[in-house]
Amino acid sequence: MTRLLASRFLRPFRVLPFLLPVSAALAQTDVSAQQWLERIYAATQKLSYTGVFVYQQGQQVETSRITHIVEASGPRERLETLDGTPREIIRTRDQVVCYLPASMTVKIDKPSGTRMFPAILPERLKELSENYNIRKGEVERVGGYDCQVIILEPRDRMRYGHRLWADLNTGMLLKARTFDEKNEMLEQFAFTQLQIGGAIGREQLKARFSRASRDWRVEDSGAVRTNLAEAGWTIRSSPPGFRTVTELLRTLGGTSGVGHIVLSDGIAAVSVFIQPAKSKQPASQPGLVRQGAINVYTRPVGDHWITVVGEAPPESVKYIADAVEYRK
Amino acid sequence: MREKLSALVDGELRSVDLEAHLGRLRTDRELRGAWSTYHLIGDALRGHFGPEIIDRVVARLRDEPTVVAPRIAPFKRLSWYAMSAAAGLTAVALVVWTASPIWKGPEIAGSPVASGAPGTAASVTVVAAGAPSAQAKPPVTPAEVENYLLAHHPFSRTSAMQGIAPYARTVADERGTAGK
Repeated sequence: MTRLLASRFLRPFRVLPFLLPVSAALAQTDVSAQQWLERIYAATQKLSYTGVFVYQQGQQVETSRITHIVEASGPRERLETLDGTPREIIRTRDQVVCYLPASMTVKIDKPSGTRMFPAILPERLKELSENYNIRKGEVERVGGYDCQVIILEPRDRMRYGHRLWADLNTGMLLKARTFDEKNEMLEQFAFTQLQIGGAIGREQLKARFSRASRDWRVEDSGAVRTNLAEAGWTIRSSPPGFRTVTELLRTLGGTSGVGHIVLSDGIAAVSVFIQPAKSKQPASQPGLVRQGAINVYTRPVGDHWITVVGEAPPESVKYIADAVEYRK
Repeated sequence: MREKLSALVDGELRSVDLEAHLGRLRTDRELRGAWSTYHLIGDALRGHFGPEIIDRVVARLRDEPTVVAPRIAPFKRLSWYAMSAAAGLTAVALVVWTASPIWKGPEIAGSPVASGAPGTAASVTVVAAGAPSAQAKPPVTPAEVENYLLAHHPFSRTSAMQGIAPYARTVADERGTAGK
C-alpha cells in the first residue's frame, strides 16, 4: 500500500523530464508565427482565387493554372497544366477527379467518410511546434503581393524544413519552399500571377475533358475507411510526432484491396500502401526513389509489398516502412 | 581580470586600463600563460597557424594508431537504417532519380559498397550488391509512383494549405515518363 502510494505520488516527477523538452520547445515558438499558419489554413478554406503558379524541382519547372471558388456547397478547385503533357484535376468537397489524356484515363478518388479538404485542427497546430521551430521572417514581395515569411525548422532529421510566403492582407499562400537537412531547396511552389477574390467566372472550373466519352478508362479508387489492425497490419512505431490520420482500403492502379494508412506530423503527410505481391511488377526490389521533397521506399513483408510515400526524408519513410508488421 | 585580458587581446581595452594591465602582465606569470593561450585561440579561430604547430599536429597524427575495426553504429540509428540487414542478403538498390526530366532513368547513387559492416548502414548512399548496377531495376516504376502520388495527395497536409497545387508533382512525373 505504502509502495503503491509512493509510486503514485512519485509518478509526476518521473514524467517531468519528458515534459520539459516539449515545454522548452513551445517556449521557443513564436506565437504570432503560429497564428499566421492558422491564417494560411483559414485562407485556403474561405478565399476564392485564380492564378498561375510554377512548380520547381531541381532544374525542372512546370507551369499550371489553378482556380479555386468557394460556394455554398463548399470549395471547388480546378488545376490545369500549361506545360508538357496536358492534364486536369478537379477537386470538390468529397472527390478528386484526374483526367490523364495521355493514357485516356480518368481517376476518381472519393473516400467515404473522409473530407477532401482536410481541416487543420487547432490541437494539431500546437503539436506542430513540438516538431518544428516556427518563427516569422521578413516581409518580402511575391507576385506583386507583400508577403509575411514564415519559417518552419524541423527539430529532428525525420522531417523537412519549410519556408512559406503568405499575403499580408488575406493570408493566402503565395510561395512555399521545402528544404533538406543541408538547407538545400528540394522543391518550390510559387504563384507568378494571382487574382484573389473579385469576379471569377464559374466556367473556369469546368473540365475541358468529358469522361462521359466512351474512350476514357475510368478508375475509381472505391476507397472506404477500414481498420487495418483487424486485418493484422500494424505500424509498430512511427517517427516522433507522426500519428495515424486515416486508414483506408482502396483500389490502386487496378488492384483492389490495397491498404492505405496516412500518417502526419501536422504538416508533412506520409502514406503507407500495403498491396499483394502479385500486383507488383515481377522482380521488384526493395529500395528508395526520390523526387523533389517526395521519397518513396518499398520493401516486401510476407506475400505483400509495403510502399511508403511522403514529403519526408528518406530516414523517415524507411523508418515507417520497416515498422510495418503483419500479425494474425 | 580575464575579461580584461580578452579585451586586451582583441585590442578593445581603453588606454587608461591598458597601462595598468600591461604592468600586471609583466609581473603575473599565470596571466602571461593565459595571454599566450588567448592568442593561440584567436589564431586558431582565424585559421592562422605557425608552421611549427602544423608540423607538430602532423607528427602526432602519424603516431596515432590506425583504427581498422568498423565503428558500431548506435542501436537507435540501426533501426532507422534497418535495410542494412537486407543489404547483406538481397540486392538492395537505392536509386535516385535526378531532375530534368525526372524519370530519365535510374541513376545509381555511389558505388557498390561491401555490405555487412554495421558502419555502412549509416550511409544513405548504400547501393548493394548482387545484381550488376547497369541492370538494376528501379524499385518503383514511374507509373507506380504516379498512382501512389495521386492516392497520397488528397491527404497531404501541405495540400490543405496549397490546395491542389502539389498535384503538379504528378504532372512532372508523367512528362518524364513520356520523354523516356
